[in-house]
This record gives sequence, C-alpha cells and structure tokens, in this order.
Amino acid sequence: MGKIKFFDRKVSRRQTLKIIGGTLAAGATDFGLVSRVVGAGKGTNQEKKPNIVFILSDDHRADTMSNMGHPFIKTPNLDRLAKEGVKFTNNFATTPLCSPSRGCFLTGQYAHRHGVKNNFTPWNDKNVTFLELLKKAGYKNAFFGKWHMPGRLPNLLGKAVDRFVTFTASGGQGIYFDCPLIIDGVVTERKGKYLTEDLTDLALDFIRKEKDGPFCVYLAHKAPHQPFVPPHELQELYKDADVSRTLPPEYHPWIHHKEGSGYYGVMGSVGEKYLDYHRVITAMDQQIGRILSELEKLKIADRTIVVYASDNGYFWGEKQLIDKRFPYEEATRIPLIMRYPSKINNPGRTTGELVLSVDMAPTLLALAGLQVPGTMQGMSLAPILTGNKNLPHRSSVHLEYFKDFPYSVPEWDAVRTDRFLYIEYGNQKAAELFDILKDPRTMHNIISQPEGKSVLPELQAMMKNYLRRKANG
Amino acid sequence: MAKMAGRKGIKPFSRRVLLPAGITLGVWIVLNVLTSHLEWFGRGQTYRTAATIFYPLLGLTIIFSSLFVYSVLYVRGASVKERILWALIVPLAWILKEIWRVSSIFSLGESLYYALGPSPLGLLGIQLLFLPLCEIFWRWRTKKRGETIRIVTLGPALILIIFVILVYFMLFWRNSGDTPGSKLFYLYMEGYKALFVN
Repeated sequence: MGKIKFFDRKVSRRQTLKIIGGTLAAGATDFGLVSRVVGAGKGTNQEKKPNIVFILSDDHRADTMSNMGHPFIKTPNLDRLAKEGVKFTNNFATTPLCSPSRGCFLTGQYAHRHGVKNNFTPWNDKNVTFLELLKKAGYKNAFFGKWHMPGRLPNLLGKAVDRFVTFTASGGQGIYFDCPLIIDGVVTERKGKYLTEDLTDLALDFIRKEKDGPFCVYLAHKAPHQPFVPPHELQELYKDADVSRTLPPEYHPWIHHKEGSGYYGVMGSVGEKYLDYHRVITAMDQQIGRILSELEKLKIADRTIVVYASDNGYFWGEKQLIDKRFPYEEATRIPLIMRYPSKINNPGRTTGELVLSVDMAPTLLALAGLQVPGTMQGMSLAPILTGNKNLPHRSSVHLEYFKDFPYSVPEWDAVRTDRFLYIEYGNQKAAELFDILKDPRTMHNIISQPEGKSVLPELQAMMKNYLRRKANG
Repeated sequence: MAKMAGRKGIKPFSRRVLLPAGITLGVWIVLNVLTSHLEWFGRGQTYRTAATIFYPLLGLTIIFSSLFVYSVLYVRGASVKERILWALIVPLAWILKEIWRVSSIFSLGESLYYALGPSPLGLLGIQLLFLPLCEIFWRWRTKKRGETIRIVTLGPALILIIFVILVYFMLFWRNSGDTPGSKLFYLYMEGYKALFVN
C-alpha cells in the first residue's frame, strides 16, 4: 500500500503568497471590510456594520437536522438557514464539553488558553470575548441563556453586553420549565414559561429595540441538553418514528447502565429520551423560525448575520457510549450554518473545509470589519463564505479534552485531518487511528495495520507540533 | 448464642457464609464479563437480547443480592455481624471495582472520593432499606413458627429512619424540574472542588 499524503496540495512559496493575498483580498474586498469599516467610527457615512444573531445550542449533534438527511426529524427553519446560507459539514468543537466549548466560541481560543478546561476551572474575567470587542466598536450586545462556566457569573454587563440574561438553576444547566432568569443581575421568576421560548421572546424584544443596529445577540439555549423535556404540544411528536435507521447497530436499551454512565442523567427508557431529544430540537427550530421571521419583518435580514452552532455533539449508543466528551465524530462534529444574505456568494452551499469552534469569534469580528486579536487561535471563515477558491486550507486540526471528574473519560488530544483521526490518551489507553473516509463511524482502529502504520509518523509529527504549541499556551 | 439467627442447625462457616456469598459474587463476576463482551453475541437482535437479559440481571445482582445473601445467612444461623458484612459483598465489590476502574483516570484520592458519589452512596443507601426489612421479615417468619422473638428491634428501626432521611436528600431535595439527585450531585461536586481543585 502506497504512502498516503496529507498535503495533496503542495504549494510553492509564490503560491503561498498568492494564497495569503487571496485570503486578504477575499476578506477585505468580498465583504468590503477594509474600505467600509476599518477606521469607521460612529457618525460616518460608511456602510453600516452587520447585525449578528449567534444561536448556540447544547449537545445538538451535526447529523440531527433534516438538511443533513436525517430520516425523521423536522427542522424546517435550520433547513431554511442552510438553504439561504452556507452549511459547514466538517466543523468541530475543539473540546467537546459544554463549559470549555462555550469559552472557545466566545474567546476564539482553545480551552488550554482561555482556561475553562472542564467544569471546575473557572472563567477568567480577563478573557476577552468577541462581544466585548464588538461593543467597543459600537455594537449593542445582548447575552441570552446558558453561561454555564465555572466560577461566579462574569461581569459582562456594561463591559461586553448591554443586556445579560442567564440562569444558575440546576448548576447553571437551567431547567426547561419555570427556569428563573437572572436579568441584568436580578433574579426573575418565569412561571409557566418554556425556557427555549422564553429566551427567544427576550431576544426578539432586544432585536426590535435595537433594529437600527448594529447589534449582536448571543442566544445560548439549554436545548437539547438532557433531561430533554419538550414543550407540551410536542410530546407526541415522532412517536411513530422508525428509530432503527438512526440508532447505531451497537445501541441497546441499557446503554446508559454501562459502567461510568450513571452520571449522564439519562434515566428511564433511552428510547423515549431519544425521541424527546428530537422533539426538543424541533421545538428550538420553531423558535429559530420566529427570529428569522422577525428579522424579515423588521427588514433587517439582509444585513444580519445569523449563525447556528452547537457546543458539542452527543452519543446515542455509538461504540456503546452515551453523552459527549470522547474524541469521536459523534461528539466532536458540530452543526454550523451561517447566513448573511447581502454578502454570501452562492447561498445554499455546503462546505467540507475543516473548521473549528474557535473560528467563530474571529469570523464574526472579521465580518464586522474589526481587527482579529493575535491572541485568538481560530481563523476567520469569511473567505469561505465568499466562495473564494484560492484559500488556505487547513490540513489538520487539533482537538483536546481535559479530565473532568467524575466522568470517567481520560484526557486526550486528537489530530483530525480530512481523512484521519489520530488520538493519544492521557492514561494507559493505547493511541487510536481511524480512517474517516473508509470508516466514518470510527469502528476500526487501524493503528497497528499496514495502512495505519504508513500514515502514523506524519500524524505523530503533527501531534507533537500541536502539543508543543499547547504547552506554550 | 443469642445473636445467631436460624436458631437451629447452625451450619459451618463455609456453608453458612462462604457458599451463598461466594455464589452471589460469582454470578456478579460472570454478568460483568458478559456485559463487557456483548460483541460475543454479534450485532443485531441477538446482541440486543443479550444486553436486555444481562444488564438488568447485573443491575439486579448489584442492588438486590444483599436480600438473598442476608436471607440465606439468617436461615443458616449466621450472626448479625456476619449477615450484615457478607450481605454487602457484591455492593462493596462493585464499589471497589469502580474505584479500580476510575483509578486509571483519576488520582488515588479522587478515585476514593468517587466512591462517595451518588451512585455508590445510593447503592449503599438502598441497603439501609433492604437489610432491616430482611431482618424484620425473617423475624416475623421465625415468630410465626412459634418462637418468642421481637419482630421490630431498635437497630433495624433506626436504620430505616436513616434510610428515609437519605432518600429525601438523594432524590427529593431538588429544585422543581431538576433531575432527581442533581442537587446532591452538585453538593458532591462542591466537595470535590474544595478537596482537589486549587
């Protein structure tokens, strides 16, 4: 078997310069950023900065949308978003766990840099979020929903946002019904309210108030995190669904009783919980539809960037696993759809470029025409949105996970290329290597097979490089 | 031998204690092996059927084995101390196995703290219900046979009260809408942070 090359696109120095130039040009001209925005302060005649609605869900795996070919879930509004925008099918959470992943989206940094490595290491108020940078540039910002990072609630109000609505119930996870909200520091009872709808109502109020823009709404839903409680009207939805087409062969109804799985909060019949998971996603999709409709009604849809993503994926029995945290695709691959009607070329596109949760902050800053701080580790996806072909393409990405007691998942680092997934664990567990193209469900570890041995040195070299950078912060 | 149960025909230690406790432990070990190697049953329906048989059996063995062991030991004349200690053999073995399992990921201190978590605590907690109920049941049977014996004594009654309190804190002490046990879990995690996180 011949040696497999990762860097199929070998480039000369000249080509490299051309690519960099192309990228800058794409970022600058396709979005008209440099001329229109850089240096443009308030009160000038420059084109207005775009509004931003960033919707982050919780534990929504990338394949559970009808636009991804899911056989029974209905997500018409996410489908619409994908049809009118760009869908990223190779988007990964750099750390597939709620708290660290949220930090990654907000800061554009890996967990090892922003410091929220697990559910214990607290958020550092010195971390700079994209919200803070947008606010400094004149944006009116609002944060709605799940903060859920260790430590005290951050001092975002005034510094990064003009409205801060969050919750601390159930350890910061929130509860689906009657979840008390902390609105600008004041605890407010919300009797009879369904959280996803309640947060959307508040977000819509803010959008209406700030419709003249520019504004940024960060809307972080609890949905579809366990305990997967759908609204009353959707409790019967999908009851006749054929789940045999979506549950993996290794699924069994007692999967949540596997050792160490008791902490994942899935009790009772997994089958019913599985359907509830889909119901909760559809409920969230309906609320996303309300936002899309309101943007249209206010006639600001064209100049409003709408982003949908999730903090991590979820296992439903694949490899006999449940929850997230593990370095496999079900947990690390996350949905990402971006819509920006006035700027995106060829809407309805799907791209398989390797992109990361840490790319979101630089992307939004770039789209707003702002300088991306050097401390951010992600790359702007703005050039991808333009459809520019001469773009630098990542040959690999680094994913990481830190110990999170009492969840018995070892620390790991992973290198993901277009084709391979190589994992090194922090305990005695042996390294693993999967050929994603041949084995998309990562069922066959090829590390000791000839095809695995042939690519291992290159992957190990990449890993060494990533770990060196990680050690340097 | 006032504290010996069964009154008549006290069996030797091997038959009185080792055999019932050993058999139960053996069943638990076999079920562990089977549930850890479900791939032996292939995939598809056979696999799922095997999981549907062995996982509940494993769970039942871990949770309810004490009822069986305690009862056999009572009937075979084991002392109260023997009954309590050996009835807990499978729950304790499961907890030790969990400590061993997680010690590959966590430090020794963290692994020991793991054993104080809601699952091990819940398992031991439910034994606070089973063992007194078992004792009361077998005393009732003994009395029914005509022997003079009090059915409810102070020890089992106190343990049952502790059980009720524990159930409240483990399941019902929570905010509306929370997953049962979540409040205790967060408290447990606060303890972890205080002990192990700088």
